[in-house]
Amino acid sequence: MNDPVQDILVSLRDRVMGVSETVLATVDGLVVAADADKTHPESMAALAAAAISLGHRLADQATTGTLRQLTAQCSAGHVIVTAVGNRALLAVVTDEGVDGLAFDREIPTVVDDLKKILAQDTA
Amino acid sequence: MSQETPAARNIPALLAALHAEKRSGAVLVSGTPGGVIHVRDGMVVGMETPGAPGVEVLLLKSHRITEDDWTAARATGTDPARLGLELVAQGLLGARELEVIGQAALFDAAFALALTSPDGWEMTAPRPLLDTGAAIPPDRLVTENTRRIRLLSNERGATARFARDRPDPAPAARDPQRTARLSPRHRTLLTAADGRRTPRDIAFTLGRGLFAVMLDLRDLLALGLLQSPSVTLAGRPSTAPRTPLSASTATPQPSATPLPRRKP
Amino acid sequence: MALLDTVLSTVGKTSGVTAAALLDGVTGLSYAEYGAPEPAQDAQEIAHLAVMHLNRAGFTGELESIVVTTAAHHHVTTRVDRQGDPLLLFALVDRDRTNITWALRDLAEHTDRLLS
Repeated sequence: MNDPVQDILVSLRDRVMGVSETVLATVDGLVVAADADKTHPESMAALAAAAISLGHRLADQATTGTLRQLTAQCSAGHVIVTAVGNRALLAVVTDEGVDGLAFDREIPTVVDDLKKILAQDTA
Repeated sequence: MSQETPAARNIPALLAALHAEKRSGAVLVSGTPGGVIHVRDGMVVGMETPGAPGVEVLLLKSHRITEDDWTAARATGTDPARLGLELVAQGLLGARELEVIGQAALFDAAFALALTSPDGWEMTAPRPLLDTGAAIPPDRLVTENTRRIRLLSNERGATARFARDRPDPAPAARDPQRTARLSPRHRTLLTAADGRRTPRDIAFTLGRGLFAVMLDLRDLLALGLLQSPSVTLAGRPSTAPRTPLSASTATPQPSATPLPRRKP
Repeated sequence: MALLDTVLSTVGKTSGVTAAALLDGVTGLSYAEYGAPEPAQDAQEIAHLAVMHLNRAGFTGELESIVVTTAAHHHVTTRVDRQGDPLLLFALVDRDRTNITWALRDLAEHTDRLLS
């Protein structure tokens, strides 16, 4: 049987055109699960955790409310980091043609599903 | 001129109506993928969708235009719609070549949009579009899509499934004698097909058209160099807050009972 | 009139050429046409098959041209060089009005300047 978290990550790649890699990490930067091939999940987890913590401070400094998502727009794709509750975060690597509408539609459900599963982790 | 959307049962019918009325505007298509169809005086002059690479991706990912030249052309303050013409003016791209790429991208987007049924559409005022000089009557898009779907599988559903497939290199792809007998184009494609990418993903990676990639993938599948991917997944670690392990659980205790032995 | 249509009508003025098309070498999409080049997409398929078979036979160079001769015509398909997927220039040449050597030479001149 497949791990449900892994299934969610793989299905995100199926449901949103342009999603190429995803890494689910703890807020302290450790890999929980990854659907990755070209990126190094351990490094991605550490960097995404650092980025989102900087993002929180950025939002604080700019008094722009709570951070929802952090996007690095690059010439050949994007990296989008979203908080998954207060324990984890999801880093998604996409190409430049990503279906942004589908991404925005799918990501709240994905985050919610992941949050529910991770909440069951007690030991 | 009225901006009312003509009643139509599908996108080709809508485009035909816009063609008959020589209308201009943008048709926003919602769906998976959705897209934007740019219409000028009834002719289709551009189409953008996440389902197929646009002109910018075709130029940059194929390294036809370098990132630096692209950024420099944008920095001239030219209207984004005239960016292609700016590249031509700077001698970086032929005007006819731009038209070829514009047409190729347009037909490719039309093909990508034809693989799934749209959720809906609405007509808006004209939207910004990178001008390439392409202007296609909508009936040509329909005949070309029919030809493309017939070439791949004779049936839209099977073509749409192929478009979602993530082909993997077959064992034969590791045989240098086999790969040496491929065109450079097919060899490059073989390295991009890694079992994770759909034809669309490969098209974006290489800066080639979706339909062109699907045709070349079909060649490689027929040669037995590609296959459908296998699924291998592993478990995951817990995210529960870590507590130091106590000494008693950290070191496993030898079991009092001996291991079971099989009796002959 | 689109630039490509203009360049194809120039090709059409070549002596002996009765129809012409600029095609995508991979997809067979016709970018521009002169006259009624009905056999053009078949010619692209023939070119594709020829390249696949030549590759399998160990030939690794680029295809330059293919000429299919029928009673009345030469069907000439020549490769138009560019970065990325190749283009093909197809021309239907009247056998009574020119010979193949001249036709190939004239078409080669066009392919060199086609994309500028």
